[in-house]
Amino acid sequence: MRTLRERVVSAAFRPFAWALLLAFPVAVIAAETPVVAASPAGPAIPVPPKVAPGQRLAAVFRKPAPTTITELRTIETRVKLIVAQVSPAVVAVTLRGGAISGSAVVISADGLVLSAAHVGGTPDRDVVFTFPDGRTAKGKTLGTDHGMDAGLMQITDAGPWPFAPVGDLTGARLSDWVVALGHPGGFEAQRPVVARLGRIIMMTPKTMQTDCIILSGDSGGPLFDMSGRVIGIHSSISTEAEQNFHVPITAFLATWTRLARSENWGTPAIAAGGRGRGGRDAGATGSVVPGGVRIDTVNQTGRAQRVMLQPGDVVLKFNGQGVASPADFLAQLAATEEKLTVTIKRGDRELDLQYTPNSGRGGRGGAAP
Amino acid sequence: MPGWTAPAQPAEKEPPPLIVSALTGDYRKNGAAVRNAFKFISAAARHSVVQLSVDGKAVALGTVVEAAGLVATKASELVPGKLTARLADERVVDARILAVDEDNDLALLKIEAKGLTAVLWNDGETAPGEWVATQGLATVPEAVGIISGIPRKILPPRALIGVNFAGDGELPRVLALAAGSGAEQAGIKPGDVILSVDEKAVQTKTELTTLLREFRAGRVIKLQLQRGADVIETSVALTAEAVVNAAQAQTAAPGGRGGRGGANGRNFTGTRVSKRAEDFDLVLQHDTVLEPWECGGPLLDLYGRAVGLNIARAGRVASYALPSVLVQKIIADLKTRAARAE
Repeated sequence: MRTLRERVVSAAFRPFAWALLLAFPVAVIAAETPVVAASPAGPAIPVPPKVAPGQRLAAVFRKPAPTTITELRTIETRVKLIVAQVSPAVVAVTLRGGAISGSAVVISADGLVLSAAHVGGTPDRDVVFTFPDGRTAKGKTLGTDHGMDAGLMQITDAGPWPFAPVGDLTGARLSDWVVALGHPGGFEAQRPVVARLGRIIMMTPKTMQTDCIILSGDSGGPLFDMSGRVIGIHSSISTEAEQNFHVPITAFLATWTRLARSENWGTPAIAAGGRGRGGRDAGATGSVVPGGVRIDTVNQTGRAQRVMLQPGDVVLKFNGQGVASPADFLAQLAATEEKLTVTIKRGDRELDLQYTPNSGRGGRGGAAP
Repeated sequence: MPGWTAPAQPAEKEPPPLIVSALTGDYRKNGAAVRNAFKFISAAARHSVVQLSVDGKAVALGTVVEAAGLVATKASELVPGKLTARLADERVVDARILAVDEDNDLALLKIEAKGLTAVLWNDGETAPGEWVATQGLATVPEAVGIISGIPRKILPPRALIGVNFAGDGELPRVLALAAGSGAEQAGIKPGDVILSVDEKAVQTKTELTTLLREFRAGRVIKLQLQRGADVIETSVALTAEAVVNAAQAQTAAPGGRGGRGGANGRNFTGTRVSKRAEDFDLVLQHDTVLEPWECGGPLLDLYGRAVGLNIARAGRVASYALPSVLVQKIIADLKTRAARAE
């Protein structure tokens, strides 16, 4: 039953997955760096944002889980502060007279805005930004990296604008607490910005997964770390509540020059048949059985087939770690960019299936048993 | 057979792949380890909660509002049948409905138990980012989350006049009519441009839909239309979105992407949504993942006091609670009404 439901919902969701999230800008509070450098030839090219340092955080933020009410209160105080400080920089984005809407975050006083590539679409389009206080501003899309789903925008009306600081992922790790802001379902005047709390569940160079639950309309909205810095941009979701995918901030920093020069490149990963961002389809369905996840179906095009999973296999481990649910396992399988090992039980034999992405068919041709 | 090998030799010294593991479920926001930190408030608060069942099937939680056996819950989950309440001490007792507030979907029940512990209300204001715990009968909360925004009104399900508008242009020009809709009955024709609603001029589709959003189904509005060179006046009854959609079958409804969507539009992600998830005077939105049958119970702060009563699972990202001040006001009204009836 569960599997069927997942499959049906997943199919219905696909057309939406890519269209869900909104633009995200970051408001920088501290940096005094000039955001726009005059270039001798042609228009000014925005310089990269200065990465704000992470703050020293209370011990509970490094614990696997809070254990007391006092520790919960420490987290709460921090989250409230961050939401209050950065919400003014979170904007709704509309293009084509409202036909496309998403979220974004302002990251400089003069109006640089981070969002998702699938919100802006292509460079040099007209955009309207709506701030939580109701103010609106006109702007343009700059560069878009469709492969990573990173998009840069610029407010063209005169500032200064509220903005949020940009972070990096240097100290980030699984279990870090994070806050998602944005406009799920689209902008609503009576509901300025919607806050959601979660933790980092998975990170690869291409995507971050959290359990901050996001929805269409959130696309392009910001993910904040506990220092109140933008570390991700909402990109896509899959069926489970804990499958929320964000563009890592590093994607913006690594290709800043191209984004700032309004280049347009890359192919949406999700176009390959999207189960989530990073988001190739693993091409399989599964159900929970004691000790692991049983593979129910394997299609002919997904990674599951290339890894040589077969219906009836029970997945025990993924890279040595237990698997929590079919959805988690399939998301990990689809998103992993490194050599991977799937430990399965087939019949009464336990096997390690090894696979190296982009190496062509099959695994690494290890010796047959 | 390429692609798989025997169980790896333990001698393999290869470094592990870069990043492939995921945070295990227990340590996620709503995982067992995190919820366990709330046990200190659950210890007392669980005695102010009941689980309500109809013919033995769990339908909702309930909030104990008076020690003598008064319980408040979400009314629309109480389907006909034998209503019972399970207490934290495992007792199962009969329950009956005393009165219902339809506007806010709140029911007041009498359960056959005395000496209960009434919930403690927190009447203060809530702020986005505050932890909230949805308490059931267990020693830890059913689920936890945070307050997502400021309290707000939730509008009723959208009511439509039953037209699709043409193309990409901004003018509210009628493209097609939904069969059996108010627009069809009023004689609106494709090509008509809507000029005003109840004497209020509209220039764009967006303006028009924003205006219509304020009306409930059944309301009759006056429309001014431009047809060719003529200006025509007509009256149109608004129809509930679900009714229009059903009648319209294959045709897309107006509104579409980026809008609020109906109860269906928001919830394509496998989320089970409460039957009644719209049309509330005032709600606190929080990000707790609830099942519809986990509504009706108290929403607790870190002091174990109720900031509200869960009134709806509204979609993938949102659960709603009626704020404590509103709940207490409704309960007072319902008590008066119940006393008068007896």
